[in-house]
Amino acid sequence: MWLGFHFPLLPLDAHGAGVVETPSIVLNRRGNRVALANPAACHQGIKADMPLAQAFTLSPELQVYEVDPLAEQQLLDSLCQWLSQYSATVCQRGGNAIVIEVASMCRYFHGLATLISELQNTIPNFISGCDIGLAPTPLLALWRARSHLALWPQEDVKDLADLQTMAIETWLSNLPITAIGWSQQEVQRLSGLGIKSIIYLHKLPFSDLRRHLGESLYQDFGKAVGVIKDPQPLYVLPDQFERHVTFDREIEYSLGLLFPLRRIVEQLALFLRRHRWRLFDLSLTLKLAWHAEGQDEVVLLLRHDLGSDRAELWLELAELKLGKMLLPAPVRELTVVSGRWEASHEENADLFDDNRQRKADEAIFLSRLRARLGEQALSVAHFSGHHLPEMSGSYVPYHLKNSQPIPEERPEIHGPLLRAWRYQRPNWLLPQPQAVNIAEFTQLKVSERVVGHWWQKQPTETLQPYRRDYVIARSQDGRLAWLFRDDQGIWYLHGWFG
Amino acid sequence: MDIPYIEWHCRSCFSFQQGASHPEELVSRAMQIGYHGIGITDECSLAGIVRAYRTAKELEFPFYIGSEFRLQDVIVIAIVTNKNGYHQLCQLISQCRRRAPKGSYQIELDDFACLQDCLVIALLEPMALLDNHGRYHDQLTRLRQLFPERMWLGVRQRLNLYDDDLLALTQRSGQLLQLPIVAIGSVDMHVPERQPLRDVMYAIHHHTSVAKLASRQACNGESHLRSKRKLQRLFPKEYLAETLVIAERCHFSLEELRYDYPKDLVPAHTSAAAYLRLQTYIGAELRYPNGIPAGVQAQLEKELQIIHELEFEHYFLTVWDLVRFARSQDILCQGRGSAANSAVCYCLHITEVDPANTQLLFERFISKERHEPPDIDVDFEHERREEVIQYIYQRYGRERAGLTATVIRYRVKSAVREVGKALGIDGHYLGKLLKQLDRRDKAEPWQQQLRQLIGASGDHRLQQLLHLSQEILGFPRHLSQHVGGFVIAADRVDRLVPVENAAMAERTIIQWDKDDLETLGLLKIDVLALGMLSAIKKALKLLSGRDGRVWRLQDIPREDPATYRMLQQGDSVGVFQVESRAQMNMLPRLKPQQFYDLVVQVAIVRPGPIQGGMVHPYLQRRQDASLVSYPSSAVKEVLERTLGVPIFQEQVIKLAMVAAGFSAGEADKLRRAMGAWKRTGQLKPFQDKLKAGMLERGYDSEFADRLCLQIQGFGEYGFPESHAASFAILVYFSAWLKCHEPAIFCCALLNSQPMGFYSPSQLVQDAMRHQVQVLPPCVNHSEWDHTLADPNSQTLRLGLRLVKGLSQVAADQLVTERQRSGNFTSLEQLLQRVSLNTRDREALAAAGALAQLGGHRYQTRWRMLGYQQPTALPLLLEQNPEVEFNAPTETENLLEDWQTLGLSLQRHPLAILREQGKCYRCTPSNELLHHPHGSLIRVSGLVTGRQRPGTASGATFVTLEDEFGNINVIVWLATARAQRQALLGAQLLEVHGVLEKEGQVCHVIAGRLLDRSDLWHGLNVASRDFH
Repeated sequence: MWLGFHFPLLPLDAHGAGVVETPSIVLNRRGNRVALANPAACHQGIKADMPLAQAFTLSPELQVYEVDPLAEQQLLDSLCQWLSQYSATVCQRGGNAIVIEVASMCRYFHGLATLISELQNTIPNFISGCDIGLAPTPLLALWRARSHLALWPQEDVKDLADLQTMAIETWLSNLPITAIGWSQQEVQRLSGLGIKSIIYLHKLPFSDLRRHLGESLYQDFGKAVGVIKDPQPLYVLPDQFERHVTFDREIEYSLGLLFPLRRIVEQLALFLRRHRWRLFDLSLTLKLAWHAEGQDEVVLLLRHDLGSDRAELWLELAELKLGKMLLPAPVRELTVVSGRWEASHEENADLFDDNRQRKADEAIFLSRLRARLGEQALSVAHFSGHHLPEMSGSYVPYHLKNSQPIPEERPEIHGPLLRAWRYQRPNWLLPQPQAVNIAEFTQLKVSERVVGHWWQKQPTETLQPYRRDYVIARSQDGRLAWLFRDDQGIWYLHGWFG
Repeated sequence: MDIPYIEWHCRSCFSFQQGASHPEELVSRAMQIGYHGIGITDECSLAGIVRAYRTAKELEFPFYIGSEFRLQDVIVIAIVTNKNGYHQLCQLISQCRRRAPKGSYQIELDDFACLQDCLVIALLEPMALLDNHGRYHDQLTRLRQLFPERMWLGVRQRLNLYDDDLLALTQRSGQLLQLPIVAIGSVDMHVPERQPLRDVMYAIHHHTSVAKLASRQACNGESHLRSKRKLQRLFPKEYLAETLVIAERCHFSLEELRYDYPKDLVPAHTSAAAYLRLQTYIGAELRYPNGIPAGVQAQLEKELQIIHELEFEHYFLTVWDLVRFARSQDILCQGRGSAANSAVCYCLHITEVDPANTQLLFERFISKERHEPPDIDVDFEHERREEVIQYIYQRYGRERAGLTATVIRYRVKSAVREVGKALGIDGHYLGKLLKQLDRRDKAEPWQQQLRQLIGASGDHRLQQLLHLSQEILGFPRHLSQHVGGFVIAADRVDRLVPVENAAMAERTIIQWDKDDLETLGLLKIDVLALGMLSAIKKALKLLSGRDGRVWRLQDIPREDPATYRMLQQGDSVGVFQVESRAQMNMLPRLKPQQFYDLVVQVAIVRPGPIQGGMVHPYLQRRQDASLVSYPSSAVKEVLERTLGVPIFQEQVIKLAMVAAGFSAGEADKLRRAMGAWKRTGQLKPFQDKLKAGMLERGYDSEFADRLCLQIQGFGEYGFPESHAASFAILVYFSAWLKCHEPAIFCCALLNSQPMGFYSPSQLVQDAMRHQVQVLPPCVNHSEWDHTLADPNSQTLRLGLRLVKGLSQVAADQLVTERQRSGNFTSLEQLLQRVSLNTRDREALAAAGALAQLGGHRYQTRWRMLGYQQPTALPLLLEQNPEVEFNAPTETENLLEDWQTLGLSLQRHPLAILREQGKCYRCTPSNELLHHPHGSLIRVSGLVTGRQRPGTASGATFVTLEDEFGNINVIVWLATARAQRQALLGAQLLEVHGVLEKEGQVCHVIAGRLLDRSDLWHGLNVASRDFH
C-alpha cells in the first residue's frame, strides 16, 4: 500500500510565497505567462496560463517569481527527509510529488489510520499545500492525491488487510482524466472518445490501450493498476556530512566548544576517509541561547585551500578561530556541515621537489591566518578596469579572489589601460583626495580628464557627471604629485609618484 | 585669426547604439561653432547621410560623406572624393554587410583596394600600443600601398591616458611611412550633455549596465564637437590645417546622384515618352470601348505632358510591367494611394478609379512645382505577392532591385525597457512599470504616468530612467524591412546605396528609408499584399466555375441598389474596410446610396475626421440639406462634395490655401508635416498659422479649431480621397458579392484565411443567417479548400483545410483517390485505398469528417487510432472484439467541433444555455430593437472581441455573440476598472446595462459584468482582444 503526496504550490513555497497575503505567481519558463498562482492571486481572478500582462491588469500589486528548480529540489529533499521518518521506501515522483510505501510500517505505527494521522499532523510549516492519496500502487496513490479524492475509497474501510483486497475498480472510481497530469494532447484524445474518468479506461480491453492510445498512456495506466511493474528509484540521502548537537547545558566560553567538536571532527575525518574525499570548507553554526548583538546564531567558516581529511588540521583551525572569539551569548546548539569537497587521489612525492611541500606549508599558513584573523583581514589586489582612479584598483577578500568578476576579460581593453597606468598614474593613491593650494606645486604636465559616474549621482536637474582634470606636478619639497582640478576649480592632491 | 578645421570622423545615431546625436544635430552644431565642414562617417553605413545632407543643404554648410571601418588595431575612415568614389564606397559597404548576419559586417584589409576614388584616414587604436609584433605597422603599410598619396594618419587628443603614447606612435609611423598627420575629433555626440545617453547606448550595445561597462566606456565626454579654441590648444596648427587639405580633394554632393530607372522595357528606336503614350492609349481603348470621353482625353494629354517634363516615363512603365505580369499570371492587383488620381494609371490598368466618374486631383499625385517623385502603391493578392517579388528579382536581378528599409526607432516601451536595463533596474520591475503605462491616454502623457508610478521612490536610477527614456525616444534602433517598397535601378542598386542583409533569409534591404528616397528624388514602387484581393479573385473563380463563363471585376454590375440597401442595414460582416464594429455602426447612419458615399464611408471612421469633430456635422447634413452652408464660395468649391465638411486630407490642405492664405509651398510643407508628425511633431506652427489665417479672413474660430484638430488626426493616420476611392471600389465589389452570392463570398473569404476581422466561425454563422446552407467537412465530398456543394444553390461545403492536425498532403491524397475511383463506402475501404498516418486518421475522425462511413465520432476515432497497416508478411494482426462507445451528446459534439474545427454547425452554445434556462432574463440580440431606448436590459453571449481604440476616451468595446448575432457593449473606463476581472477574463459574459438606440444601431452601456464562463466548462472560444 502506498501513500502519494502532491505539493501543488511547491514552486511558490520555494520562494516562501505559498500562503502569503500578497498575490503571487510563478512564471512559466518563457517568462510571459502565469505557471502557478497562490490563493491570494487566484482570488483576484488570476489563473494558470494567463498572459502576464493580463495578470498585472487584474492585480497591479502582483508579486512575480521565476521558477527556481534548485530551491524546489532542496525543498523536495527536505520533504523526503521528513517522510523518511515514516517509511524506509521514499521515492520522488516528478518535481512536486513523493510516494512512500506504508504497508510495511503499519505495525510499527499501530495501524494505517494512525500513521496517516501522524503524517497529517506533522506536515512541515514550510509547505503550504499537501494533497495525500492512498492506493495499492505508487502511481495510483499519486493520481488520487492530485485529484483531491477522499483518502479512503470507502469511508468505513480503514483496515490494511481489507484495503489490500479491495477491487481496483473501487480505487479507480471518480478519478478524472484531467487531474492526473497527462499531457493536453492525451487528455484531448480521451475526451474525444467520450472518456472522462479513468474507470472507463479500465473497462476497455487492456491490450487495446497500447494500440489505440499509445505506449505512454498504456504504460502509465498499466503501472497505476499494477499490471505493469513500476520500480521506484529510492531516495538516497545526500552525501554531505551534517551533525547537529543540542547541548544539555549552555556553553559560555568559546573554547569550551572544542570538547564536543573534537568528537564530531573525528567522525568527519572518518566520513571523509571512507569517501576518499578532501574537504575545503567546514561550517560551524552556533545557536545562541538568546538573541544577542542582533543575531540568534553565529556561523563560523573554516577553510583550507588545498583541502584536507585530517582531523587535527580542522581541529587546529577551529581552535584558532574559537580562541580569539568572544561569544555574544551562551551556545545552546551546534551544527557542523561539510562544505566543498573533492575526491582525494594518491600522489607520489618527488624526493627532490620541495615545491609541493612549500605550497602545502603556504596554504596551511594562509588557512591559519584566515582562521585566526578572520576572512576579511586577508585581501588581494584586484584590477577592475574602471577609468576612475579610486575605482580602478580594489582589494577583494582572499576567499573571493577567484570568484571576482573581471569586467572585461579581453586583453585588448585591459592591456592598454594597464600599460598606460604604469607610466601615467601614481601607484600611491591617497584614501581621499586632499584639497591643496596649487601655488605650492609646479605643474609639469597635463595628464588626463576623467568624468565621474553620473548614474551614481542623486537626481538633480542635470545628469551631467562631475569632471576632474589631472596634472602631474612637483611639490616644493621635490616630490612628484598627482593633482586634479574639479568642476569648481578647486585643486586636490590625489596621489604621489615614486 | 580663424582656425581651419573640418571634423572628419563623426558617428551619428545611425551607428546604432554608438552615436548619441542625430545627423542633423551634428551638422547644425558644427556650423554653429564655426567648423569649416563636417563628414558623417557612420560605421560601415551610409544610413544617416541623407538626413545630414538635407540639413547641410538647408544651412548651406559643407558636408562630406564617408564611412568608418574597424580593423584590429586601426580604424579606417574612408572619404568620398567624387561620384565614382561614392559608388565604390557603397559597393564596399554592401560587400562587407552582405558577408555577415544582419546588423554586423566583415572586412579584410585588401577589400579597401576597390576604393580607387576615396581618401582614407587611419587612426591607431590603444591596442596598437601593446603590439609587439608590428601588426598595426603591417596594416598601415598595406593601406599606404592601396592609397598612395591618398592616406593620412589621424591623431585624437581625447584627454585620456593613451593620448601621449598614441600621438608618439602615430608620429613615428608618419615618419616611417611618410604619411601626413591630421587632427581628428572622433565624435559620437554633438554636445557633451549627451554623455549619459551615449553611455546608456554603449551599455545597450554591450547588453550590460552602465555600472558594469567599466573600461569599455569612454573615460570622459571629450568625443563631442569641441570648440575651435580648445582644438587649437590640443593640436599643432599644421594638423588642423591638414583637415582642409583633405576637403580640397572632395568634390561630391548627393545631388549628383543621377538615378536612372530601368530602360529595359522600352523597345529599341522608340522613346520612353512615345512608348508610354502608346501603351496608355492602348489601355484607354480597352477601358473605353465606346470611345475615350473628351474630359479623359484632355486629362491624359495633360498628364503625359507633365510625366514627360519630369522624365518619369520609365517609372510608369516599370509599374505597368509589374501589373502586366500580375495580370498575365492571373494575379488580381490594384493601385491605391494618390496614384488613383491619375488617368494614365487607370488606362495602364494600374488603378481602377475611373477618372470619367470622379473628380480627382492629379496634382496630388505629381506636380511640377513639387518636383518630387510620384508614389505608386500597388496591392496584389496576398497569397501571390511573393510571385511578383520574385518576378522583380528575376527581371532586374538582385543587383538592380532592393527593398527599402524602415528605421525602427525607440518608442516608449522599448525606450523604458532598454534604458532601464542599462541603468541596472530589475527586468521584472520594468515589465511591471510598462504594463501600467497607458500610452494611449491622451489626458495624461506617459511621462507623467511614469513619474506617478515611480512616485517618491528613493532609487535615483528611476529618476534617471525618466529623463533618459525621454531623451532616447525617436533615436533609431535598427533597420528593418519595409512592407514592400522596392527601388529598381538601371545600374546596380548597390552603387547607389549600400545594401545589407535583412533578418529574413534571402532578403536584402537598402540602407535608406522612404524619407531618404524622397529627399533625393529616388523612385520606389510599393508592392503590397491585400487579403481581400485574394478573396475577390477566388470568388470570381467560383462564379466562373458555376456559370461556365469567365467572370472579371468589370463584369460585376455597378451601382446596384440591393447592395447599397444591404450596406445601409449595417450588414457588412466580411466586407472590405467596412466590417469593423465602428464602420458597421456608421453604415446605417450614413446610409450609402452611391459609390462616392462609400468613398466617404471608408474615410470618415478615421482619426482625422473623428478628432476634428467632422463626423456628426456630416451625418446631420446628409439628413437635412438645409444645414449645408459654406462660409465662402472658395470654401464651397473645396467642400461641396462632402456637404461643407472637410473629410479628406486633400480638402484640409486645399482649405489651408483658400481659407488661411497658405501658399502652394506652405501647403505642401503642411502635407509633409502631417505625414511626418509622429516622428517630428512639427505641426504646431502650421496649426497656429492656419488658425491666425482663418480668423484674419473672417472664418469662425470654432471651425478653425476643429480643422487644427483634424490636421493632428491626419498626422496619426492620413487618408487622402484617392486612397479612399481605391478602397471603396473593393468595398463595393465585396459588398456586391456578399449581397448576391453569399455562399460564394463566404467560401472565398474562408479560403483566403487568415485575413480580415472575423474568425471562420463568425463568417460561417453570418452566412447561415443569410440563408446559406453550410455542410460539414466530409471525406466523400470535401476538398482541401471550401467549395460550393451545389453550384445552383446557396450551399457551402466546408473543406478539409479546417480540420486541425490534418496535413494537406493527406487531404490531397484523399481527394485524388476519390476522383480516380469514386466515393469511399466504408472506413476499411478508405484505409485500404489511401495510406494515411495515425495523426491524419485521428484528425479526420475527431472532426467528424468520417461520419458518413463509420458512425459517430467517438467510435470512428477509436477505430482509426487502432488501425494497423497491413503488412506483406503473413502475420496475424492482433484482433479484439470491437468496443462500443456511447454516442456523444449535443454539447459534447459541439465542444469537439470547436476543438477540431474551430467552429460548429450545430446549435449555438447560447441557444442551448437559453433552453436550459441559464440565461435568465437575458434579451437575445435579435430582440434588442424591440426595447425602448434607455431601458434597463440584460444580455449575455460569448466574448468575441474586446477593443479600446485611442479615439474612444478610454471606453472598451466588447462584442458578444449569441445564437442570433452580435451585441455591442460599451464599457466605460470606471466600470472597466471596477470589474476588470469579469471584463478581461470572461469567455461567456452577462451584462446588465442600459440600452442605447439610434435608428437601427443598438448598444448596451454596461453597468454590471458577470463572468458566466463556468456555465460551459471546456468551451474555448477565441476572442480578438485589443487588436
